[in-house]
Amino acid sequence: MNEESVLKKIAIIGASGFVGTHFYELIHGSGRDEAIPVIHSSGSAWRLIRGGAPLVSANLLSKEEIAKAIKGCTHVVNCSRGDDQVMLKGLENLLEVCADSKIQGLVHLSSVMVYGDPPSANSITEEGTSQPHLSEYGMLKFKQDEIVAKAAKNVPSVILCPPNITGPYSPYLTGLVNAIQNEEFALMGDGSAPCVVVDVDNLCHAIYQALDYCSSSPQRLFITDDELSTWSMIIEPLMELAGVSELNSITEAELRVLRDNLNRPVKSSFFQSLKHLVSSDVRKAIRKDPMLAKIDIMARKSVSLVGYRVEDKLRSSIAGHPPVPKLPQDTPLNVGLTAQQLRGVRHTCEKAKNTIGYVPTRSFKQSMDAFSRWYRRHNGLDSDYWPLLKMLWNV
Amino acid sequence: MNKFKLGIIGTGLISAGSHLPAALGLPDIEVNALVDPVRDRSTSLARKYGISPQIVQDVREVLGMLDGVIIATPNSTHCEIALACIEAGVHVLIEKPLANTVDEGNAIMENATRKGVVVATGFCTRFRSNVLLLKELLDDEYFGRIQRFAHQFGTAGGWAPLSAYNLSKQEAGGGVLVVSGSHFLDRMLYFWGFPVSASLTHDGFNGPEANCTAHFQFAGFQGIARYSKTTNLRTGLNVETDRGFIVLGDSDESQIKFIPQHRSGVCDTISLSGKKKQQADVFQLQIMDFVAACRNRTLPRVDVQQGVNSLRLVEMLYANSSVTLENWYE
Repeated sequence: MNEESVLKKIAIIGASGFVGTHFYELIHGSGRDEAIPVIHSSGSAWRLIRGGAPLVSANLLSKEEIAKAIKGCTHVVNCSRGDDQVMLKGLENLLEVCADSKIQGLVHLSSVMVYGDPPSANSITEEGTSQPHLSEYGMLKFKQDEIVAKAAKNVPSVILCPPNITGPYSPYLTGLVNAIQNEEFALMGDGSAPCVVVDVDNLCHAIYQALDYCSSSPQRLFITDDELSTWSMIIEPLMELAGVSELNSITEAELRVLRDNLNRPVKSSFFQSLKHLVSSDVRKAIRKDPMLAKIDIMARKSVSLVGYRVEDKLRSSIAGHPPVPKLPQDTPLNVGLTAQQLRGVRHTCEKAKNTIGYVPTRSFKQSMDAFSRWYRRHNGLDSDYWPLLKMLWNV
Repeated sequence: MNKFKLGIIGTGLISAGSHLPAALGLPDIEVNALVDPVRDRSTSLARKYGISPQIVQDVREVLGMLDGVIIATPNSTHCEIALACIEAGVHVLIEKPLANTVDEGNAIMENATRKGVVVATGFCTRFRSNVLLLKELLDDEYFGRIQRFAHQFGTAGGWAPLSAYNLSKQEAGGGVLVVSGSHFLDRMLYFWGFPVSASLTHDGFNGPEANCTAHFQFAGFQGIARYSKTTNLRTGLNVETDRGFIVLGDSDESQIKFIPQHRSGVCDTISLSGKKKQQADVFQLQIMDFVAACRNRTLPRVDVQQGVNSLRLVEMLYANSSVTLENWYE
């Protein structure tokens, strides 16, 4: 923490999320500045409330509620997530209220995804090419960045772009453990592809630092760990947590094909639609309505007039051949998650270090060890009862 | 037979999603009143289900026209509302937990006895057919003698009552142990009676705990129960016996599975045969049981004494608890 900065009263929007809660704990634990945890739903606020956090509830779609929540605050940190309306209209509302409330600075949490998935090759630095159209989430975050930049003349801001976030409680790492356990993840090649991550403690340190550097021309800053980590470095400790000793592997070429297939848009087809329409499930549903049932019977009678040979031919030309039994398949790969190994670009945090004095104090190993400790305790891996608990996963 | 005149007190999530639809599906019950300090909640709920009950903000306005009520309000209000209903001779089905303290539970029990009023505690999972079957099989030692057990239930967030009372230790009577764990504590008492000793570790250092582990010692065996509001856990009960492991997931539809000792890969599924295996809605079964108890003046399946026992266990756990602080980076 910057010892010279004046005391701040910081409203954390989206405080019940992974980053929001960690940031609250950090600020509250330091005992210097005041943090106001602003939440939307009480469902996920348990981690905050166990320490007695004074929760404030606000819906970003209500300017009145926002105004009440951030009253008296000097700074705002926006970690909120939600549907498109909350992310866009809610953010506009927040910025409008911040302007009216003379907020001194706003730190907005964006994402490296604004540079695309996969990211542009030149996005090693923030000046690289944005390709938000390559993912829905990236596009949403890009639009948010534009909203923040537009409002910055009234609300000085900084835009932080973290990659996947590690550390205790990390949903990203938890998802990877689950995927490994369910055999939905495969390691590409020897796992030497770069995996850009940031520890949650490092990210929160950056958020705090950024509060002092909000400006009317907001900068976009990559906040990453300042280390070269690879996929094998991430996956190996997670395999132990997942209780898996061997991992599926995949070549880069195979993974590219799978990813391209995943991203290929579904083309509309007359025959495909007709096939859906004549399927027994659809017709069964249609027949529940008396009028549509009559139409269905009429259609059925008309078709039967042409004779069963022609009818069969017509049916097979639309519906295709009947299915034949298949051998049990392996668990399908989570292509979206596995294909992250194709991202390849290492976003550097040099600009953040130089402009806001970001110092990633937690090493990659510390971050993974912290996650491991959290995961083991929360899932009971070190408990005497683990043999019993483990069976709940398998049965 | 006249229809049973039911009132529902508290028209938040649990009433809207479970109690009211369950009651409306029963032919010999009419929902005559919806009670909630936020009148709009009741009005929109009545509109949603196309019913026209009395809508009031205080139950005292309608007690004279009701046979029984379901109390589904924040836990800290259960006792006061229940006592008002009991005083008016109206039977009560109280959403779990019965009250916030043993003293409150005893007050409800004593007043109900004095007035001859039925009190049921809303531990709806006791109406699961898989729970009833497991109890029979455990009693018969069908799977062998119990050595130890482990139960866990964990969701990262979820269940957000409209009043957010669940986040207040004073209003909920505790943290995740009460909010998520009390159903199993009740089932555990049903299976094995009151434990010889019990203790708790949790993370509520200045508020209601979000994670906890309870340890229980029974005569001849022991076990744990783990609850989390920050982590998604594979939920269920695993009972180790001298012959193998009995596993039951934590849902109405789960089937009992038995994995014999030294036979990994083998798993027997034990289920009821024929019509018995159909699981009706547990909230509906609970209301049917309550109404039958009111009409026949018998004890409901989960009576007030069992509700008090559950509170005793919760108080015992909190009295023997310790806080584990987090320092993941070390």
